[in-house]
Amino acid sequence: MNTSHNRSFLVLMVLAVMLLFFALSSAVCVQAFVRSYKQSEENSRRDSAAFAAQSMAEAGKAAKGESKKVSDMLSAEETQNGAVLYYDKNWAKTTAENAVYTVCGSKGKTDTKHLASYNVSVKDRENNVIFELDTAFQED
Amino acid sequence: MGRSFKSIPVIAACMLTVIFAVLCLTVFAMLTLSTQKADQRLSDASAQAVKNYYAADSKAEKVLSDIRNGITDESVTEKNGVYSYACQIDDTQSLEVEISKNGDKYEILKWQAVSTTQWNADQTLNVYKGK
Repeated sequence: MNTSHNRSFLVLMVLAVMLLFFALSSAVCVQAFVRSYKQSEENSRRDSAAFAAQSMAEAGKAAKGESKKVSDMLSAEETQNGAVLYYDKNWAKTTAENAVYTVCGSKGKTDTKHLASYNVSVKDRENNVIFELDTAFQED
Repeated sequence: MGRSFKSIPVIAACMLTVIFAVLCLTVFAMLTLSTQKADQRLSDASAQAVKNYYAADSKAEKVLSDIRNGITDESVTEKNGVYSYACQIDDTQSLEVEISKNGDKYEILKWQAVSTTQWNADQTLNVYKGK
């Protein structure tokens, strides 16, 4: 009776240890999965931000920094700070109210005659800069 | 006694299942991590390539405005009113520019990103030569 009881206890202990081992390994692996997923999302976000910034930069160069022309080209909103494009979480164009990401392109001045700069910044809802691009173009 | 003997295969089966599950989880986690690392490298390279291109483009625009203002440095060569210069994008590419200037007017003849690495084509072809 006593030996049988001891054996049952041993079996239970082995099962408990296995369960613990499985739980620990699962925790570590799930952590790796979650970290990879988050990093992948971050990479995807930056890739899309770079693409959006590049579009805005090229439009800014072509329009010689004029916000009105950039807004017409990209169907962007014209603001005091320049042309602004709003994107939702899937990087589809949206309105300012539903925007998760904001791409802002603005004209700047340089010390060199005939040269102007066009600066593009992509920000998230918390106003963190995801991607920035500085470019230049010729003024008449 | 009989019950104890019966429990041994059950424990063994459980152990094997747990070991197999943990092994699978570990392998998949490793694969996920390595894929993520490769993805990260690609994303970094892509973002850097965009930044590098626009840095070179801005530099080329600066040189162009200098030429328009009548200032040329040693990197710019002039031949028959055509100014040529190149701005390095990265280790393998550069932005080559050719400008034709006539008074205040200028025309961009070339604004091209070109590869600066040597292309070594494989000229060999293993064909059947008979006996």
